[in-house]
Amino acid sequence: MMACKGFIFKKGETSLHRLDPRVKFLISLSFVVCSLLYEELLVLAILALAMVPLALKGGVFREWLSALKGLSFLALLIFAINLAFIFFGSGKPWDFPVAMALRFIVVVSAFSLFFLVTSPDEFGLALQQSRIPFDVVFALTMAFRFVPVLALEVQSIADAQRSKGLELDSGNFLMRVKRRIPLLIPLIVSSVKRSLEIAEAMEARGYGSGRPRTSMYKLNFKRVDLAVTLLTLTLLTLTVLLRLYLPTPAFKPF
Amino acid sequence: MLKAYETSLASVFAALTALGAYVYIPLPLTPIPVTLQTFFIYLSALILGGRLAALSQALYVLLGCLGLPVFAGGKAGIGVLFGPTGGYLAAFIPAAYVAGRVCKAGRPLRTLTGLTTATIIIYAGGTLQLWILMNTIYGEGLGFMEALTLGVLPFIPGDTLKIFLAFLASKSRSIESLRVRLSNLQG
Repeated sequence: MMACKGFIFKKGETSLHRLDPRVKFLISLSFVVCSLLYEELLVLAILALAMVPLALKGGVFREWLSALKGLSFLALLIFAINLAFIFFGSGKPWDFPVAMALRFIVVVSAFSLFFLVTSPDEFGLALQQSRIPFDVVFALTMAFRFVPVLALEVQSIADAQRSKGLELDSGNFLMRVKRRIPLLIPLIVSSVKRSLEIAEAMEARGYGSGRPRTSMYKLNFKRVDLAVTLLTLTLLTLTVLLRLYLPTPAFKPF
Repeated sequence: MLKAYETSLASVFAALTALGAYVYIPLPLTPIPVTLQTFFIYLSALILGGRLAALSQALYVLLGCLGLPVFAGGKAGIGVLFGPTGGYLAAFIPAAYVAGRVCKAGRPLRTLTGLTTATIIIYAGGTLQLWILMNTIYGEGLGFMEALTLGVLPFIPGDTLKIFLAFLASKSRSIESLRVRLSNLQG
């Protein structure tokens, strides 16, 4: 659950925090698109390094690094799988496994950067003002906030069951699976109860009253936002054009 | 418009499926890992019923598409939906719906049939997309039987286990009482 920490908003007053959330999303998305277009190690390394000044600028470098650390195991896994494929004769160059692991890191850490400098409220506001119905936005932001909460819940249930003498880390594979059942049932029961409590709180605050909802804050697109958007779009177009006109191996987006 | 408890239940099950994606066992020679996601899909169907279960899975897929690391092994982004594992993810939604419609408390045979049907729907959606992708973009010329060995066979033991786990869990007293509480809300 280390990676989870790299996705939780960190309060700040930097210029990155003040950007419009839609612009920030565009930046993260551009990183993802660029990384999917290329499978050359050099380009992917440049993309990964380009995120470092952004993370520093947003004052979230440490959190961003912890997201990377949480991902390192999966990145290694991707590296190993691709290496195995080369041994089985996939005919890829030798730097391909490194490039694939790097691509995974670029994709996930780009989103991690976005969520580190965008508060859930801002995120919801951005979705809402993109004309997505309020119900959906609300459910999405709620689910988004539930994930780390439930992850902590699993930990405390595991601790509670361990203190009652449940051995989670011994026995063969089937035994281990069987011993996970006492974790799953309390998790489900407690999360359903929690969600019913939340539903009561929602109703107490007038959820579902049927009248159109107003919001206290409005997002406004400032001049800086426009400038950053144009810059991002230019860079993105350039990378796509480069990809199209430079002689490279056949296009494989995944 | 959804009622408040419907919204909160759907989002909590979306979050549970997301959590299930982190319990992740990669298999050799296939791009699809074994995860606990399907277990939570079965349970959402058993506890919430068809409509809400489908809604919760739709929320889950949407969450991942927006860039949160909720897909198997912390992957994210709309690209995953068009990748080799995307078909499975998209099939979660109809699978949850069908399982929720077919399963019925106190009818074990019907419940097991519903869960098995859901698994078959997930396999079908996933393998179809895997097969199409392998033959078009990757140009590997994968036969349909080979696609089955990549996309279905390695997962049968795990999914059988998960179906039984979900079935047993749904019969536990605490979850039974939750279901009664929820049906009172709906009634």
